[in-house]
Amino acid sequence: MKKYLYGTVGVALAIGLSAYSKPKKIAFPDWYRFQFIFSSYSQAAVENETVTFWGYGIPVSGPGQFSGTCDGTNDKACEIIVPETSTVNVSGIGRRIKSAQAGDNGSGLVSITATTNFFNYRVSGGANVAGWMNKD
Amino acid sequence: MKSTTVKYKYSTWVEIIAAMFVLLFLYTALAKTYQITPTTNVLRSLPVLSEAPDTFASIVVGMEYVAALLLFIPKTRKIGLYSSLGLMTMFTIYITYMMIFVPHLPCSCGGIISRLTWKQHLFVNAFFILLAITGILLMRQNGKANQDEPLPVVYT
Repeated sequence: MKKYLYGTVGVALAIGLSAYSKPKKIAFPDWYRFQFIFSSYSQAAVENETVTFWGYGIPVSGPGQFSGTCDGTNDKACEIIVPETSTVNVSGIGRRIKSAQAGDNGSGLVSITATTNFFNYRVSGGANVAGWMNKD
Repeated sequence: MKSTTVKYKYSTWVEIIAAMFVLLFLYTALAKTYQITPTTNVLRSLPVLSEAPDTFASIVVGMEYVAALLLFIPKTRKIGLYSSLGLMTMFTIYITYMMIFVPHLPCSCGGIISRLTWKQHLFVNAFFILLAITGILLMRQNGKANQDEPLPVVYT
């Protein structure tokens, strides 16, 4: 019975501690999903950093809740999900990816420009664009 | 007599180490069971695990319960220590991945452990990995001490 002594103490402590632990609310940031806007999806198209279009989806409380233009087939590089902190809300234009994440060289948000569609933004150039894409 | 004392010492330390792991695994597993959503949310955002975050979360919690049970029962304690070493190594690889690729995400760990920074978490894991190795080595020494002990002589 003595062999169970320390184990029992461990079990009792675990149950006690978990019972009295306040459920912690993890501050999960809002996520914004940008999808690759394409006429014909291809690996070469999404890897072309000079002409890459990202369309703004909808804000989500967690990733994985948006179905847009990506059809689910070979679309790993079709979308990027960025936390709220990596985006900026520009009055009259809408949500944009921050310049640093968009691959801008620091001169501002000029590398992301609105297209004809209000929610579509063009991200042009920059190594970080590839960086975002590689994360998926 | 000496061998018995050494054996007692070894087994006591192994029991203490096992109890510490029981406390760790059971506490985090219970915390995750009570509140699984933050865990699944974080897992969902990881490319490798985003396909089935609920399943992965359940598997991790299940493994923690099993490891705690194996450690609690003296007969399976050795397997429990090896499982603990495996689990802690797996968690450490996960933390290292998170530190490198998604440091802005919160930890999907249970209880107060989720309040640690990634660096602190890495240190805690390193400590528990060392603890598991120590437990395994002590258990081996214990087995050796058992072998060295002379067979009891029965006088008739």
